[in-house]
Amino acid sequence: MMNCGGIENTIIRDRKAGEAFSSPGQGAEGGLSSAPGDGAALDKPGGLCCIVGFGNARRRDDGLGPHVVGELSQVLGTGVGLQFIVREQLEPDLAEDLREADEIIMVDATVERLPDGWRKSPLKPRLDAPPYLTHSLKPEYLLGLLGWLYDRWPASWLVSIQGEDFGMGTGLSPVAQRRACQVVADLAKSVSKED
Amino acid sequence: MAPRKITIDPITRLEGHGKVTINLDDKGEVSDAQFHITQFRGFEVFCQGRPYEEMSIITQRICGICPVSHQLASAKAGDAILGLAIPETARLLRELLHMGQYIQSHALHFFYLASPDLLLGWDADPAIRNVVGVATKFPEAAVKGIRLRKFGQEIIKALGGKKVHPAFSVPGGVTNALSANDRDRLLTGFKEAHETCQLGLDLLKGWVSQHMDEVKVFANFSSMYAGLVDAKGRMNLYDGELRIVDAQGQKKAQFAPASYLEFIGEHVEPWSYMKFPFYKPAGYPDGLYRVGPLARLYAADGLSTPKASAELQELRKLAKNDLKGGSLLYHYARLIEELYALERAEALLKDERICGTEIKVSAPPANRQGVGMIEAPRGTLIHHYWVDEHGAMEKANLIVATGHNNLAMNRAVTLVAKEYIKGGKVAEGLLNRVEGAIRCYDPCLSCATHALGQMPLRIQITSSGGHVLDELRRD
Repeated sequence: MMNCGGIENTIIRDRKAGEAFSSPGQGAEGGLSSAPGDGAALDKPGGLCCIVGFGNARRRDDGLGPHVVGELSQVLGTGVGLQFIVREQLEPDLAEDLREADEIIMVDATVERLPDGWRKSPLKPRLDAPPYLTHSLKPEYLLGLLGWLYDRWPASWLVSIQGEDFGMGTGLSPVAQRRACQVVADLAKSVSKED
Repeated sequence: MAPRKITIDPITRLEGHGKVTINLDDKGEVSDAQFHITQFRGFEVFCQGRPYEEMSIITQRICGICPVSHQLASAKAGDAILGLAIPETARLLRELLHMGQYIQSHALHFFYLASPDLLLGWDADPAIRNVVGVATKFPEAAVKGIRLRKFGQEIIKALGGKKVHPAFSVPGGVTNALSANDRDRLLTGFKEAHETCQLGLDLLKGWVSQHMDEVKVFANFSSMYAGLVDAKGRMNLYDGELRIVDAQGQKKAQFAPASYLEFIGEHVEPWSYMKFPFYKPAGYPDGLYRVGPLARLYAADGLSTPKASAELQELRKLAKNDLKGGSLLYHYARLIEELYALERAEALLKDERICGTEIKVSAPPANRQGVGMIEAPRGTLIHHYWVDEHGAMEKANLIVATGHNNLAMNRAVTLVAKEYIKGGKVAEGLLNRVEGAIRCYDPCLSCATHALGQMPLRIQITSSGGHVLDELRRD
């Protein structure tokens, strides 16, 4: 898969020790060899920012989230302060991995037609009864679960990237690839500025 | 009074979509109840023509909750077509994957799906009778339940690369060896997992002792029970022969998986897409049998692990005579199996053969058909494949756990409805208890044909002419 390139890696690499049964080095859920496993993080004063990319990389542009997070992890490196997480879908036990996050950025593909091709919008926890599938949870309900279980209410964002081709197969469509590069550049800049 | 019909649609906190219709007679008493499955999947048909080697990848897409079970049953059917015994390390690794599935699935069911009914009460406000309510009133159980499920998922991921739809079991063995690092990492998780399982057992046993009257009457009926047993008659979740016992525990039949068609028939009703398996010698519908946690513990002579064996002895002391058929005991049995799965997984990881590298054998197909049978968390799962001389699928027959329990769930719903509907009057709490009766069996309607959580509920009371006389809604 083509990467975005050209973005300066400005962060010092320093891997954070994983938990007893997290899976450092296990590889990405979505099968992206370039993406880190659970627990990859980098030094970032001011709290832990978790960046979660989710989607199915075998359904072409549905893999935008995992692709962007895989690229970001390469651009920004690993250490304490940032955590990159890739999942095919959001499960309730992801709340456990997010319990120390001070900020959460979720990256997902959308079929919605967006004026700029992508959008970063604030994400609020849903506190009502969750209509969730146990193996496929909406971001708002995952945040609600995080709050209910761990009393954690981090500032959260949803980055939605418009996809074009959600058919069977791997690799992003050319238009989605360009949008992914814009998102990687913007997120890398904004996350670095927050340092 | 004209016959009436009550409909509950959809049922919540189940894996899939279902609907219940309760039929009333002229006097307003419950005549029968039907648990409908309204989804249609069609896997048996669209598998036709595919290479049998692909089946373990295709059929696990039946479900996002129990893909491991379908993958294992499918791989075992493939082994039978190959006509070869798989390497011992592969067999151990498959069982370990299976235990990971049990740990996550049973933890999910108790801490997320069943505990709201039990810990918060059947009649609690539906807005809080869910995992959020449990998290508020029982935060330790909610958090530990999440972590226990995660532990099971980590076992699956360590073997199959990911937690949902892992790629691991294939005809002839498995695709990946287990590294010593992953083995050692997983072994650090058992202390906490055992503590959480014990927390669940303590909560459940406390609840049972305080609600014995309800446990005795709630969807309690006599039936046969089925489950896989090993050569010593002990429960085996991965392999063995299927044993069917009567309500008193006397053996009715015990047979190798390949002989299942001699003993299990499948009946079709026009009002459901889910078939109704039955014990052939007893005919339909008298051949009602139950599968799943309670059935497995009743069908087996005992368990091979010490802590779970001790818990089983306690259950057996409790579940005598008039209590034995109580559907609520399924929750108790499920937690004993959680303990068993933890003990087995730890033993497998400590087996020196588990990190072996001889994990797969290859050969051309030796047989034109093969049967794979395992005990999925919800009950016995059968995959039966017929292939042509090139190994292309000619036909598939899948009998899933929820299907085996179809007759039993209909019986359970009818019994609860009879308790809560008298003279045409529907008592408060009917909806919750009908759902609860079905939930005892942890049905996966996606497997039998995927949704969970708080959905709108509707009861329609309809005359025999089809006119809606009354409607109750919960949006």
